[in-house]
Amino acid sequence: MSQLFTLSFFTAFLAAAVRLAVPLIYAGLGETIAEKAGVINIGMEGVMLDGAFFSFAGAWYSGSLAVGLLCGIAGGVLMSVLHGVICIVLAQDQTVSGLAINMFALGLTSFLFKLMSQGQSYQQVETFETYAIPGLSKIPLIGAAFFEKDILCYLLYILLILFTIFYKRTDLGLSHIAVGEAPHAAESAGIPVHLFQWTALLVNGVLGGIGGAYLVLVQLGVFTENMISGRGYIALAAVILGRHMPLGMFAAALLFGLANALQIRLQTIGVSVSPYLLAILPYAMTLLAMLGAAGRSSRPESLGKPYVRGSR
Amino acid sequence: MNKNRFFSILVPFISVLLAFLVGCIIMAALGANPATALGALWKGAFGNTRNVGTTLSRATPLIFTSLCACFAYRCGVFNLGGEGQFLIGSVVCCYIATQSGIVGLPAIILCILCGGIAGGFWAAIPGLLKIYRGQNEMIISIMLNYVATLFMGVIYTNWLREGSVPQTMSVPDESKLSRLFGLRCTSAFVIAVVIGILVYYFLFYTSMGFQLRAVGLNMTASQFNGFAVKRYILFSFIISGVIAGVGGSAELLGTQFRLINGFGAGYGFDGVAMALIAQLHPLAAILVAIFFAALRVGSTTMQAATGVPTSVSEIIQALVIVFTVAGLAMVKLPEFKAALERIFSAGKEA
Repeated sequence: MSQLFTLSFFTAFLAAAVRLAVPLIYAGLGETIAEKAGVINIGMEGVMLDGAFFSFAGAWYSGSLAVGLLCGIAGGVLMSVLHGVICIVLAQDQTVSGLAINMFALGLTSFLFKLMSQGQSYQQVETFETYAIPGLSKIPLIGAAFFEKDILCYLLYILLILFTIFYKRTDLGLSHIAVGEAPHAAESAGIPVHLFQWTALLVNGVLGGIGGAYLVLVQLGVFTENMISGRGYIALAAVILGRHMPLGMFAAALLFGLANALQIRLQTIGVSVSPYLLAILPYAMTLLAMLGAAGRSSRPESLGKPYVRGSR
Repeated sequence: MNKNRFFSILVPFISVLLAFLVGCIIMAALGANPATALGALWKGAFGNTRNVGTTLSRATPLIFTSLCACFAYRCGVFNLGGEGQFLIGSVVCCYIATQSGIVGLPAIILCILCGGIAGGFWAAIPGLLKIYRGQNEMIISIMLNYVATLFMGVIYTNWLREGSVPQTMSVPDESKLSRLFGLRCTSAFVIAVVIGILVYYFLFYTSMGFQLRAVGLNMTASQFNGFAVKRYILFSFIISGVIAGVGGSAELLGTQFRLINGFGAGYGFDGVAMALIAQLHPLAAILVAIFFAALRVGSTTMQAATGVPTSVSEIIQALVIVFTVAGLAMVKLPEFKAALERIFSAGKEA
């Protein structure tokens, strides 16, 4: 047990937690923005999977990480645009559309990956390098975990701050929230509801795509079929736990990362409990947190309801 | 026939045709003759009685999970936890079948009953959280899928593990479900169809079923009419879980006989997709499940005969789902309805 409670243990533990949480936070931020505008995207899993595949394909064929990232973003946007067509233009059930997107993304990426891998096996693609921020990365405990990361992770910190300011301090952010809470009232106040919803979905696709691409271009360097394996859904849970605010979502995703890092850590030091039982820990914790999430629901009032102009 | 009804049947058929069309283009792009490939696909799925048996056996768990999805959605709640309920059912079933010492018909009845109860219990969790805490039932039920999958992992790697391979011991021969006409498919298929018919009868020919559908169509109006909305939601969750749990037990006793890595993987979401294509009609769900099973079974033959990879079949399946959802969305559009009116009235004048 002595090896459990050293500073280096906690540092490594926290670093692992952040590493596991970053893709979730990207996806969760994208989902927060869509849900604030009243569009729930259950298809986040599919958006991420598409992002992961196209970033891998892009990076593989071009040999450039930047191209890979752009392809990943395009892949994510493709899925969220499809979602937008079904549930904004056609005003259909958003849950059904999201589920269809997950299935479509799984079929599409598995198929294209098989086409790509016919007759050859893949090496890893290059991954983004880490840059330690001078000064900040020397802070004990959290320095290495938060400030010795890659450029996409730093971008995420900036986005989190920007979106928090956006919602708390700007008129545009307030309009955006109004669209999700009371679209009819927003429209009569001159806010273009559908424009806001489309913008939110595009951002949702971009961020979800980066979330998927992050797994490939930063962490693993390879694509495997169905590699998102539920991260999209966990991001949705993080949004709810984070009460639909960017920083709350950040904390919830980090909590999930911590639980996951803890169970992996326990496995490696050889606790005599089945690894499968340990792996339940992060999910069980999310469930317990949702059970305990008391008080008024933070859910936007018109979430999931299609908005048709001129209807009542 | 009423126009809406007509389109709700037409759209899935057109979607299937379009999906196959795209599939054929892909096959041609891969350098195979689409006609030969589709012929091989058909032969693999329905070519002889043996293959039909295999197709029906593959369809059986899908029928259970799609009925599970249908039942909850009819009440307006999304149970995405069919997979978890299926697995928990099979875990409990496996425990009783291998550990209780009871064999034969009593064991089969006991196993399936307990599997169903376990599934119902697992589904009650999201149901209760939904009605008492207002939590999103979809997210909760998905989380419970992961818990169930991992819990099954504990079972086959630790608690009921047999030998060096990570799998449980096999169900005793006396407790296995009997095969129909010596084919791959077992009485599990019969159970599935019977449950499908019961669900159909309940939903469309009983007053409780009517109220349940009313809750699904308009929760607020049902509340005003004094229906016990919360009770219906919980009830629909539990029954939907029972169906999945019975499915898990039947799959274990009829086809797999032991729990192993990958048991039941993907059946939950497959069921959801099939329920959507069947537009929540239980009998249509059975047909859709058989159709998807045929695509899966046949694709192996297709790959062996023509070299077209099985993933083409996966793409076709995915496209059927996407086209159906988009198509049904389209025919509900006011613009589409207006255009239709114009065409119809023009036809009358001419």
